[in-house]
Amino acid sequence: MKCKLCEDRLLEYLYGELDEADADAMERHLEASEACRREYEGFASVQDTVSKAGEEGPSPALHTRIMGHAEEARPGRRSLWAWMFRPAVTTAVIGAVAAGVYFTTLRHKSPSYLDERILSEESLLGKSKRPSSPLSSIAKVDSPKKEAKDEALLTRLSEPRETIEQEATAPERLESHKKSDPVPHARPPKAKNRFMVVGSADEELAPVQARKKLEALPVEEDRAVAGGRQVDPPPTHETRQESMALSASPGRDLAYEEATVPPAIAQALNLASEGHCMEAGKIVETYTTERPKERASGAGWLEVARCHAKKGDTEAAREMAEKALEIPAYKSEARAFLDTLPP
Amino acid sequence: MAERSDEQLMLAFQKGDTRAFEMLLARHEKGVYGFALRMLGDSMLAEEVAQESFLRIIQSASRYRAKASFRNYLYRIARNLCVDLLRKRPREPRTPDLDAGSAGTPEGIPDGNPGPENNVEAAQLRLVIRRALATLPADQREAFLLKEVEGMKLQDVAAITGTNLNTVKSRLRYALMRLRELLAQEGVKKHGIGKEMRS
Repeated sequence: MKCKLCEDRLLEYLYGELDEADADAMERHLEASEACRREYEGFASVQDTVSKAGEEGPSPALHTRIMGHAEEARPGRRSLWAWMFRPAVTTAVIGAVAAGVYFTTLRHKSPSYLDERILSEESLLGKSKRPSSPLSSIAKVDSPKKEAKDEALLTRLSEPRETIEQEATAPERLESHKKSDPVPHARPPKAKNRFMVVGSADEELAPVQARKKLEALPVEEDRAVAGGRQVDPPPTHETRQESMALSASPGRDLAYEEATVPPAIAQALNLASEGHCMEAGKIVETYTTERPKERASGAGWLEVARCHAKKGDTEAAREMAEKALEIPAYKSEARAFLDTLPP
Repeated sequence: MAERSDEQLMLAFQKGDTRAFEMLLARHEKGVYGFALRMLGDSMLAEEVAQESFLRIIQSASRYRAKASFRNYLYRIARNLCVDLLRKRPREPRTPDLDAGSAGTPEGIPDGNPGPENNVEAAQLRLVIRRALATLPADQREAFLLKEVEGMKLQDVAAITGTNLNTVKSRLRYALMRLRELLAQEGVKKHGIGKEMRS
């Protein structure tokens, strides 16, 4: 095709997309130019054939299937899962679980150094059991006799430990004390140490998923303890070692590895989930500059894109998702996200 | 009462009106399926693409803003899904699925005379067209299908395929020229299939 006019306008004429004046001009041109007319007729014949062939429809089952999904995911009807995974709710639930674990179990199972000392002094004084719960402890304080005893205990505790130990002469008491704490002078690890192998200083920055895994550890352990030893004895050195060994087992490390993200990206994910899209974007950008094709960068970009999308900034969301598209591991996820963006 | 636009229906669905979504589905499912079928030449895959396209619409309904044409949005999703599937597929053009028509429901023939002979002729034509389309490069095929079969404006085709107007025109021109040749080789005359083709 050498005719400039037809090259530019023939298709628009064929599909009726020219305005009246241009369409008239094209008609006059086609009457005059045989080559252009033949080209036009050839195209028109294809058009005619295609329209004769008609269209095939899908099976009726497709309609039913799609409508089923639409009913299930009706925007007005928020599912329980969707509700549960809203950032505010997730944070509240995790906070409540953590507080619950701390108040019901950790305070008993992993006492602080002072708690531990109180326990060992109690055992030296023949008080082998602690109150089963903080509430029962409060209730007992109401009794005047108990109050006096507690006062005496507190006075004793203010004395040096050695003095008390020397006074504890009954062999059976000493035996029971050894059983409950074979290494009485060893300072027990702080409660936080229980997480040291699986958690780290980066714990604060870890994403919600990682935090959930970390929170789950003591819960599991405490459940086992609660089932077998109702008395809730102070944790022995061995049980702590077991706990540490369990935490350091290869399986546990793997679980942590899966949940772990680099601190910078974790921070970006948190910021993005809180709606600070720009700040999160800057962090991911800095991280990506140093490690261009790393998987974590893809996760970061995608989360930032979602953050922008939530705020209705489609352009920014698209731009961020396109960056995630460049990370091979996130290509398909980024593509799927891009498709969901409104035009 | 005037018929609600796609965008109005989508906004109604956003508020939980599934009837609105059903209307949207009824309007577009055949088109999306037909587009995917001609792009991929496989009825099963075409149904999958149609289903996935609408699922993505459902999933992103809460973020939908009626800024641009819903139809373009839908076809862009379907087009991207087709392109992804074509990339995963071996390079040689696939022979169109001969049973594709039997799984679906043949639509009416446009000349208003839906006799059995015309049904057969339309089915034959569809097969010939699909075979010819399978030999086109994917970018020409999608431009042709969106324009010729779905009746979109050239500008919309450019938006959906992520190109400019001149590229679309160029692809469309090549597709038309190639199809004209192929259809002539298959014995398709201007007014239907030639005698040699029928026998």
